[in-house]
Amino acid sequence: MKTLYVTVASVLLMSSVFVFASDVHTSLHAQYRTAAALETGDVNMARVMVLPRLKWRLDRRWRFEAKLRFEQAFSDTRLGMMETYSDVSKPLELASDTRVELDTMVLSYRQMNYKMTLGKQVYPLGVLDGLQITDRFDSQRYREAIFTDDRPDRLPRWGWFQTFQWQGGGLQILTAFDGTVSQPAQHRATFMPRAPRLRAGMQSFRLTQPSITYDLPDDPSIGGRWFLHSNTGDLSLLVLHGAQLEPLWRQEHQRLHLEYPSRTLYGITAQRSDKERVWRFEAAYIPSQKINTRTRYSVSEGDADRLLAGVGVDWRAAGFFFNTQLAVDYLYQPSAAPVRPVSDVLMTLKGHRTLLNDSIAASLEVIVSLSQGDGVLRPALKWQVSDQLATSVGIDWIWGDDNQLLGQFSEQSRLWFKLSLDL
Amino acid sequence: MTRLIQGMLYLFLALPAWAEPSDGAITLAKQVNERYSEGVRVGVMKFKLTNRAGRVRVREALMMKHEKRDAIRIAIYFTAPAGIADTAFLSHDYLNKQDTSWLYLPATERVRRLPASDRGDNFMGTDLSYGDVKDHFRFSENDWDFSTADDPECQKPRCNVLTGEVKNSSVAQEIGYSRFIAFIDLKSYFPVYIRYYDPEGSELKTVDVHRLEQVGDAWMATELTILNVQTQHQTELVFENTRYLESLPLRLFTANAISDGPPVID
Repeated sequence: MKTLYVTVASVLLMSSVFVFASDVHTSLHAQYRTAAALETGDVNMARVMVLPRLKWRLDRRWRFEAKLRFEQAFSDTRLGMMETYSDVSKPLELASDTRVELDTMVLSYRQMNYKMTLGKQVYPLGVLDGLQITDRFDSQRYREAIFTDDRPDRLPRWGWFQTFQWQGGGLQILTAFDGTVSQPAQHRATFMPRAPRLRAGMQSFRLTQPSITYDLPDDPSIGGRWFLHSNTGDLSLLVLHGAQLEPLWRQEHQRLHLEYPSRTLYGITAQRSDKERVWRFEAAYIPSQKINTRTRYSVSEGDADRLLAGVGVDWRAAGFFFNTQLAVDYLYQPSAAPVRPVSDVLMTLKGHRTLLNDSIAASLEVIVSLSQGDGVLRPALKWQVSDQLATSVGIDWIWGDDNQLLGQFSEQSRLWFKLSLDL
Repeated sequence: MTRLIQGMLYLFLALPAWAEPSDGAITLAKQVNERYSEGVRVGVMKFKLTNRAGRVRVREALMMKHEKRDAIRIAIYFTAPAGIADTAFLSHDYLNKQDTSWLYLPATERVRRLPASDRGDNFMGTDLSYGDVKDHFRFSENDWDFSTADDPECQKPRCNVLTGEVKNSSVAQEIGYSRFIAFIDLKSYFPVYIRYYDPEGSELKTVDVHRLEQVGDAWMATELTILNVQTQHQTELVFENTRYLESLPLRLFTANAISDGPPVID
């Protein structure tokens, strides 16, 4: 693994030699992000991230791209669990909370109506923003829960992504050979999941980190997506098979294991635009998804057919861009009472406006669980100081109770600040 | 409110100079709108954005345009600065169907459909609107009532003044303009100077074409300045390596293609 990182780092460094060649482009994104808890004023996040990137156009059809991610955390938010990475994707840990990760490394090929990318990459699906209805192929970083700039915060995995395109439509085939699963925050970290609904019904105080092991999936994830485009809308049907994103807790001899059983997802997405609005719709059906169920003394499991559906609309008014979405996640006829609610209903609303020729961007996002009552309010302001330098400030104001998806982090409401540099 | 009163006052003062709609104006507008521009053109767009305080930002993009009688397809791939590199914009404008636009933002990894009513918004921080980019300084008969006027700086036989007043307030809100005055070059039927007014009637911006070139059989503004007179923000746009191509595959003008980054064009 170390050899791979040394190789990629060498390629990136050597690329500076070729920087003047027209077919090689290098860039660098650096970011410092810090946050203070609203309740206590304590700094609960401070992180530096540097992402050098190399793009190399080998010829008309072949391209190579690599991106590294250097990160150092100085706070309790930390950088997330290492145990959820497969061996081929695991970052190098240079020191405590200092890591180098291969973020992207792909070789891509394009010819007429066919294109493919082979390597470490992400596989974005779906048409809604940050709501995972059919977008359930990629694993995610949850080290800051969902309170990131862009959602979902995807974890790249090794695999092969192919697209066959024809007039008005096409077919995509996705294969990920990499067993990396979604990355939770570390034990005792700021955004460690505390809600019993995410811990097989157990209160977080019952758990000590050394007692948990992760059994990562061995089988590849595969998927197919057939799509149609027209000038007024898009339609796609998809089937995904692979490890479920939510872990299943199992207990053996006083030890807890997190497993990721395979499941199949059948999905549909649609978009329609008219003069004033763009409508988006997604639905997914997962037969017999494994779930943890309620029990008095130990961890138990069952299954349920899972139905997910969401609708969203974009529109503009008074110079603002607005987007609102409603999503339902429903367990149909579970074999026993699940530890999570049978239905979760979530609503999002986002308003965004740029001023002074995009020098200033103001946004306000609200995410509310209509079924549970918890939520988050996220105002943010960005100032593009120059082409290279930008600074942002915002608040994540979270409310709710301990057993709620968002409410479990209510004590972590924060004021954050970000400085970013693009070269 | 003050701006509304200012706008109404301006409209009132401007009325005597406003000519009645005439057949000549409609003919001139048609000549502008129907000027030959079919075929494929590619070029590098270089934007220099200067604000009131003199602070300069730049943008660089690859532009590809595929125009046929019934459809205009434009793809713009930003290549610099690093912060917006790989952002791409695609629009399909049809003669008899609803127009559609898409935007690819690398941070979200997804191509997003845009509502058609985005036409009046400024394009990637420049002083051009999305509508300016898509329409290429044509004035749709669906949006405008036309007149001609006189101006000593624009004299026949080389130049004629075309003016337009928006059909209604909802169109004004959508396109971001209520009126325009354009100097039309009678050789190319290309507007070489345009003054736009905002939906409240106040002067909004001017477009000054410094260089017109024939690319293939079509005329193209390859050097122009857009000045927002309200904010004193200015955009200088220069096209480089502008070329006419016999053809370019339509698959390069699809929503899927714009997430791949700029294509290699011989």
